[in-house]
Amino acid sequence: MEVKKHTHDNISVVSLSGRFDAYEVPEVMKALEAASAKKPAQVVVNLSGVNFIDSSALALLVKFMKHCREQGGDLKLSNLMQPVRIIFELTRLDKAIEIFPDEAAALDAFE
Amino acid sequence: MLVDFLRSHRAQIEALAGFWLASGAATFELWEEEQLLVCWPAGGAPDPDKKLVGLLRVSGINQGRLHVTGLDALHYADRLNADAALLSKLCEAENDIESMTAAMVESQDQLVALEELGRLIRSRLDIETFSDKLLHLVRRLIGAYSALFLLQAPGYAELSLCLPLKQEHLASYGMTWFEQLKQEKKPLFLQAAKLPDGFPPEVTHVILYPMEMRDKVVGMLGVMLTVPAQAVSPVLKLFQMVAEQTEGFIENALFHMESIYQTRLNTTLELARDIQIQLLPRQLPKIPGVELAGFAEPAQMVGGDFYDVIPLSDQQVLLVIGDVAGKGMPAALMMATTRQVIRSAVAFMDAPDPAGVLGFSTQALYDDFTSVGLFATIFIAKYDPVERLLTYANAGHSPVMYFVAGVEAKILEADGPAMGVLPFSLSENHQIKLMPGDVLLLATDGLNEAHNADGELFGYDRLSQALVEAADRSAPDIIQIILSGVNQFAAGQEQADDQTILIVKAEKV
Repeated sequence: MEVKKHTHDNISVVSLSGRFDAYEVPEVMKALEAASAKKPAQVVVNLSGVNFIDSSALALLVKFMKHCREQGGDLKLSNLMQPVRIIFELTRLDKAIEIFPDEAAALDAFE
Repeated sequence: MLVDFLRSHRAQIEALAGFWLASGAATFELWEEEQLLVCWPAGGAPDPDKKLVGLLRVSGINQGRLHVTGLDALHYADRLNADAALLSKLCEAENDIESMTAAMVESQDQLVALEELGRLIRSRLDIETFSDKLLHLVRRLIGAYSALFLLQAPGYAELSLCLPLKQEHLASYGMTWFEQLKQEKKPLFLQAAKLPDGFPPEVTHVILYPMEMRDKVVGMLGVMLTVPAQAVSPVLKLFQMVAEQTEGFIENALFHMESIYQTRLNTTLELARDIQIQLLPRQLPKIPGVELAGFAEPAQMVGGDFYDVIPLSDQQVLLVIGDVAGKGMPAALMMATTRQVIRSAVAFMDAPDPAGVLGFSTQALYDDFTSVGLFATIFIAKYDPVERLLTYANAGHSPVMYFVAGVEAKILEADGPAMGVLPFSLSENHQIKLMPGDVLLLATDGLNEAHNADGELFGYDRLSQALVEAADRSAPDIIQIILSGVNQFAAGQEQADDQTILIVKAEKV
């Protein structure tokens, strides 16, 4: 799994690609910790390269969503591939975390 | 020194004196520097004109003299020199015996200490007690001013001892030395000049040995000496031996602790799995008009799946199926907690409805789920046999399939996220009227996510197909057919997920 980071104004963007499962959780956790370190924790997770996601990965995203909201910010998702989008819809996590078609739309939503 | 010699060999020296007096000497005297130690005859007056002197040289040093007065012939001078040489040799031999005896006693003492060390190394002591005894022994064995020991192994609380100096001494420079040992992985020899300020001035040398385990330095054993430079070498060899033995002991003790931990962990997981199995319903209630059947097979690593069947008043029944995200102990514990909270909610509510139970349970469990960083997908259904009404609410759970007799199998989708994601529930009640021959399948994703050797998943389509094909069989048979379909597909591939199924079949009239 590849993990890339950049910032846009006050928003940290973490871009992931590859298989996002229990083994990749520790590495992604480090990136999300860094991204959400400063208040208000505003994070966009770009999943454009992620073709597989399991429940540990989902649990990690939920955990950081809660953390960001506690810090006065939020965690939003963008660029979900079809198989991942289906998982979010089946589990109705799309009602808990905001999902956008692309990074720009997610960044805009922070205004 | 000659005084002692005189005391222990007086008789022999007196015999010599006897010969000299018999040969016509006036006096036979033993002198040490300017002091007369003894004279034969006692109180005798030496002849001032004739005197012969024999030097007593012991180990190349003049220790004293023999005086014979009253004789002066050359052959008597030779004889006196011979006597003096003999007495000197005797004195030397005495000195040698004394120092060899002292060395032997010291050796004996060391042997005893070594034997004690050997016993200590073979003992099954815990590391704290071991290191305390070790340092006492080391000091005795080596005659060290101070001995120190430090252990910093993974999964082990740091231990450091320094006898008889106080801990503060070790704290200030001990860590610097330890860091150096970690880097260089070889013993450190420090002489007085290289020692930091504030060090006790008597200390002449500090020797430190690294304790290695699996190629990493996890501790150190050291001594502080107050001996001259030439005395260091024998100490070094002895200390090296002790350090190597100690390293062996520490390695064993740490391996031992690791395997205890591993055994405990495995036992805990097995226990958790047993508890999980115990919490599954043993017997399913008989509800008019429907057949219930259930099956649960926890995976190797304890998981978080469960199903529950809770009888209500008026022959109604509440069915629950849940899947806590994650594996191992945290998931298993949250499963047990969630199951209990749901049961409590049902018992507490007057007329429990699935959305209400989800709502109450979500609020009660949100903080716990947040602390452990997990969530649980839950599906709850209530069946009323009088109205044949199935009311359900779904928090993020799948697969839930409903086979409409003679028509099709469809997925009953969630309308709210899993329990623990949000502090409140978004799931609402939905209703279905169960017609004869209808089948409700509640399962966890161990079924649709079962994979074969090619990495292909069983999937929802195959599951739906299997349900349709098995639907007119009895509830227990439906379970068996679906399970064997899944297991055939997986063809012996070890599955990571629990397999849990609950079937509700509306009896044909």
